[in-house]
Amino acid sequence: MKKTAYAGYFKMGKKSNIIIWKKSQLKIQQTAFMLMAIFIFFVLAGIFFISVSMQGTRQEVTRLEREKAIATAASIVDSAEFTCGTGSLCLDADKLLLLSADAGMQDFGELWHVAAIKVRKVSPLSEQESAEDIECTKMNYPDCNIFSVYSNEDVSKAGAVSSFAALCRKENNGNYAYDKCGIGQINIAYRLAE
Amino acid sequence: MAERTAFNFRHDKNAFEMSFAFMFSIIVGAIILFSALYITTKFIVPQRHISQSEAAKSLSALIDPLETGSGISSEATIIKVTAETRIYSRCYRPGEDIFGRQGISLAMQSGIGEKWQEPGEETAMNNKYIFSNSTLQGKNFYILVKQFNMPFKVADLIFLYDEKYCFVNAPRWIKDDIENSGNINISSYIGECETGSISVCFNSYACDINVFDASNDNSFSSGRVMKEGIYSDYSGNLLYAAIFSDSEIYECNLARLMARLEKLSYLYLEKSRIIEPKCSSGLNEELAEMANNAMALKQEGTPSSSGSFGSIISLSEEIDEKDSICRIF
Repeated sequence: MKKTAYAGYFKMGKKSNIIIWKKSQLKIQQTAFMLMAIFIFFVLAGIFFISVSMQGTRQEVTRLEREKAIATAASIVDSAEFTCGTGSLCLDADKLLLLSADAGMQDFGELWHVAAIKVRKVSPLSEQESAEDIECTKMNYPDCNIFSVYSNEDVSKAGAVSSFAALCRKENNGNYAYDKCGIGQINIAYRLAE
Repeated sequence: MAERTAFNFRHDKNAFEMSFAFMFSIIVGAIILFSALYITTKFIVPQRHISQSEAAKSLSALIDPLETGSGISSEATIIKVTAETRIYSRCYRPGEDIFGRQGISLAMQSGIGEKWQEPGEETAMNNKYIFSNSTLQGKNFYILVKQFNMPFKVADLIFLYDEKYCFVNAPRWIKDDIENSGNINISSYIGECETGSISVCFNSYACDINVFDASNDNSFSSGRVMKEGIYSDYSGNLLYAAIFSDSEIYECNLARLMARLEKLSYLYLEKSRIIEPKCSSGLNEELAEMANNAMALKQEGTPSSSGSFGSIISLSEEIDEKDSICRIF
């Protein structure tokens, strides 16, 4: 037994004192175990709370990313790079071609903090365009229906929102140039928190 | 009185016996309680940081749809917050980011711990140009949105302010422009301005901020703004930018706008080339020159009507006149 300040006193007493000492030792152990249990309980409760709040933060991040994507889908039509300038809610297909197919225009992708931007021609579609998606390049334009304007390769999990607008390009009827318009769908992908 | 020994103390009926288990639990209990309090206090700080960062992100989501053409009127948008809030605005010149960027962070007043803590994470925006003082504070913030055209739309200028302004002797177009804007009064002489408001004089040195005309027709379409002893050259809606923002933010955002103007000039140049078989705009040379001037001004840093800024303005007028054939913008 470890010698303590009380050791002498207990030794002095009778046999019952030794029993009291053993009982107190047991009480100390009980209290210690109880306190340990309480401590572990609080630690576990803390871990649970942190994981729940982290989950909340993840959901909040996704919500904010989605909000941003919705706001971008609503406003991107009027941004300088997309608008055809003749009025509101009009996409310039000639500029979209350059943004998606011209290597020198890839810098513009830095402007939008989203996962991807794609514009799809919805109407009018040729027979071939109705059957399958044709990515627009300088070679096949305007006989195509998909403009992949921007894509962030680092994003592995994404959601998407979309919006519709007029999709116009310059044409010439032999006498004068005019804007030939159809309907386009803007798809904005946003990052989902993993 | 008998001497108190350990033995007779134990048999004293009036003595209060405190067992070791009792003392042990008090000490350990106190340690647990204090560590719990300490951990909680430490936990509140990051929690505040997270909520402030979320608020900054929400603010950027609010600002995002503010694009002219989407039904945004000239009336000011008011952002109301429940607690006294500080908005910190930082502008990063083009460099690492091709178009530069605008950073916004928030700090909210709190009753727990320090009144003002470090702001939350900065929310970066590459496609927004917010002209404001570097620190704003209050419960109500006002936003005005105007286009920046050279002559095609380059971007939207967002003016963010928290104080009351008083425009003295403003020209007609400015009066019409800001008639319904929040927290801006229009008056004929400085004495009419409310006490505590920031006065803005046109062609006079009498106010806190003074605007001087440099246009040929006395319209204030271009000129200089003197704020806190510093002169800033402007053209068109950049007038409001020079009034509402610090000179540092003004110059930085102008450099960012020039980076965008440069890239957009190349975009229109390419567009002009691909539509050439359908319509010849005849603007290729001017657009290439515009891109070069924008690049030069981006590097110059300070706009001066005698330098690249002046060339850009005159070139913009020239392009606007010539674009009537194809209307590529």
